[in-house]
Amino acid sequence: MKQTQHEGVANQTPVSGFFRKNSRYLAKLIPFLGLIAVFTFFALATGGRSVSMYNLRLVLLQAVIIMTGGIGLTFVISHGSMDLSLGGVLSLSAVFGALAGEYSPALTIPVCILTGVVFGFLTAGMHVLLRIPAILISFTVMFFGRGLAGTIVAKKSIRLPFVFYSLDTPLFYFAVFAVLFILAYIVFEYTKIGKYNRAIGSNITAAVMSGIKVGRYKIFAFLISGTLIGICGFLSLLRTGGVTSAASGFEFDVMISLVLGGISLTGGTSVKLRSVIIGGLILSMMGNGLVLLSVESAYVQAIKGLIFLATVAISYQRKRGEIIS
Amino acid sequence: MNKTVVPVIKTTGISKSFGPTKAVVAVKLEVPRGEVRGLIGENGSGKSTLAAILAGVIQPDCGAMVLNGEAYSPDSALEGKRAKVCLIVQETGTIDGLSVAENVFLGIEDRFSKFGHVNKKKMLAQTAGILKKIGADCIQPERPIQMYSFEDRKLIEVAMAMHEDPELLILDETTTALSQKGREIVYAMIGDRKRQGKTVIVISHDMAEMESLCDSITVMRDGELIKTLEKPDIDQAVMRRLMIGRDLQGHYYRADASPSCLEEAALSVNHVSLRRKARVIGQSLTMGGALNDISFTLKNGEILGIGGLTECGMHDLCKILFGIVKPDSGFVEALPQKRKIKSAEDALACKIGYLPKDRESEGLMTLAGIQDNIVLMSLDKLKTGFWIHKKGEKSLAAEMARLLNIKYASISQACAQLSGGNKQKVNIAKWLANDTDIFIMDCPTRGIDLGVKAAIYALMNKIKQEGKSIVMVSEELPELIGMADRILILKNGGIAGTFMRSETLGEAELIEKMI
Repeated sequence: MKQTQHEGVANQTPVSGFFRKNSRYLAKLIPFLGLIAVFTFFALATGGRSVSMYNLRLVLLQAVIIMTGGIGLTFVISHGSMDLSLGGVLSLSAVFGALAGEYSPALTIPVCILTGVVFGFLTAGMHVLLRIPAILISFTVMFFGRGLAGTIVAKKSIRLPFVFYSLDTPLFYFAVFAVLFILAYIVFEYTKIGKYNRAIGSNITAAVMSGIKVGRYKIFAFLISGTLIGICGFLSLLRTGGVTSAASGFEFDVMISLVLGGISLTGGTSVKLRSVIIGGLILSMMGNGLVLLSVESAYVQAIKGLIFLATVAISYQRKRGEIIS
Repeated sequence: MNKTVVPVIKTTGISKSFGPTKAVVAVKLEVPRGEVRGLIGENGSGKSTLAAILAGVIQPDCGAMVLNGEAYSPDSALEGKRAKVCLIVQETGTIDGLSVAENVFLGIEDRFSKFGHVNKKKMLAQTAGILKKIGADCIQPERPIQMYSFEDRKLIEVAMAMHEDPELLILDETTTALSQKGREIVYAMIGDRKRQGKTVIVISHDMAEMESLCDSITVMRDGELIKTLEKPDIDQAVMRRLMIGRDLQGHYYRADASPSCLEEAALSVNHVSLRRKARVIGQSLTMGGALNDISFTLKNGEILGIGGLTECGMHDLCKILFGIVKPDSGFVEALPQKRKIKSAEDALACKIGYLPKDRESEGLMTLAGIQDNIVLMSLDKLKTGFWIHKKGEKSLAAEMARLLNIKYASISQACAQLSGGNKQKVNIAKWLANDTDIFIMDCPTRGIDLGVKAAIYALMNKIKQEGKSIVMVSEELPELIGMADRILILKNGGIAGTFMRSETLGEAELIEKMI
């Protein structure tokens, strides 16, 4: 403790001149370089198969759902919380959306989004009111969502209303994502919601002492995240045409993508929304590339895990972690 | 004192750089046994780095040290401790969640363990003994450490160090956080060390304290040792001049000698009472003090000083004025708006701003940029509809940084890299940017060097001249006497005395009401 907190000592480790002066820019560049490295590696390793037009389109389509979830999770992470319920809520919103679609297809999208919003609100509300860390509540919600969705899917075949099938084109997915990203970017960079969420992540005590309504802004973040997960639910329904099993591991894919994109899991002002795109692309390319190299899917999971650990080890803001402990 | 004996510590040509910054330059220091040596200098002059080198926390780039006549080059603080050199730093070095006793014996619990079982009873008894020895027997060894105030925890740390019976004890701004009572305990302990023939190095910004405490005082400036003054030559004016390298021009505090304020009242506090209780604010758990039927009215253009011992409740009063802590009875009202302050939202609406005592953990986002910190409370001012203008943010931050003369490399530079004084300037800038009318300042110059201190006093004066008001809670009596129009002294949660600004007002009168 004493060693690390000594005034003016802990935050300045002697690094040779160039790196020290440019470390801020280098840190920003690393995710970009990672993206280029992954792209180049798989292009070479697969003998060009990974960069065919067909495959690139596949990679992008896979990335869209991860990235949409990533936008939402970024708001939550930026204020220092974590949400593990993404996969469970995604499955539930897809199931409820499809069920509602049986009455009227017009209900599908609203019900998908509403499901996400309700669960986001529940998680945030319990987190703020009961002062339980959001990660624990979302853990419960994850199992609840997976369990309930799994039960319904097992008893009833869940299909997307037929009218939506014409929407299943790459252009639609990209357009939806572009609109969502631009809106989210504005909220994140140009409104109090984005700024205060990052301020809370930087120093929650200081935020409270400055009179920021911390609870309210945390709830906003979860509502935004819920909305996006609801949309994710619809997009995944659209892509697969129905739900056959509850999504598992989706939340971890999203989390890994954000970390790969350069977001620190501790939140704060350093969080940038562009990490969502960079990380989503890296993860999607990696998953796709490993499949092309016919790596077994169990190994793919293990490789993802290792890369996650390595990235967190590099990007975690240790100094602050120590202050918290 | 016999100076022919081997000095306890002797350094030759010690240098240390952090990147391009030369923190310590070719320092040649010699401290004789049994001496209390003061180390002074402005923030960033290298005192703390030198102290850290002596204790083994960081290693010098070059140079050699001799401890008790033997070569000494510790690789870590632990090795320093083994050589009986102990350092107490400015920040807390205790761990929340552990009991007082567990903190005292952290890492050396095996002294009490037999076959893996730690004999708690024995540990508690020994801790009680140690606490009693330093005169802090009000602290109970079995209670969790976070139940105690910052001040008490500091004393516990001192107890931890004393237990090692160090040959050389280094106190790096330990007294800064302490009230008079805590300081007395530390002073007594320093005297005790000296009587036992042990050596103490004290770092502090408090000139009067250093003058009365130290046998000799070494002045540092820009990483170099400027001069060592021996007892008869120790003089505050000389020390200041050596520290700054030039004469401090004009008045340090306010020049006028009589109280002044406008007619209209800004804030009224009506029969506010508060029970003593632990509170969670954000992520920090703090033990609050008690308040008992406090009433006063703050006028526009007035600097109201509030003083007392740390536990007298004055810090909690600040939080009540800003609406973060709700009083158990009574209320605070902003008079121009006729609005009761029931929450921080009310306080913000009434243009009240609050500078917490602990600016690092409660005031600033240290890893965020200067600009992000400065504009944080002014976002409403910078937006059209919901849209916050980036350009506006930048120009407001730049304007404030210029106004307060904040020294930075880039406006997006992380605040963690700034010196203590500049951090506090950022904190003040945050509320100035927000057009605050009533400033609640809790120890605004705690641990800040003279240059920045003078700048903050000048700024407070300017705020006053603009007809805005300041509530300044302070543990430094000269500051209260020097700056305030009116001084309230709190004792055991009640107002024990009220003093108007006057030339004849002295510290003794205030202390009499405090204790």
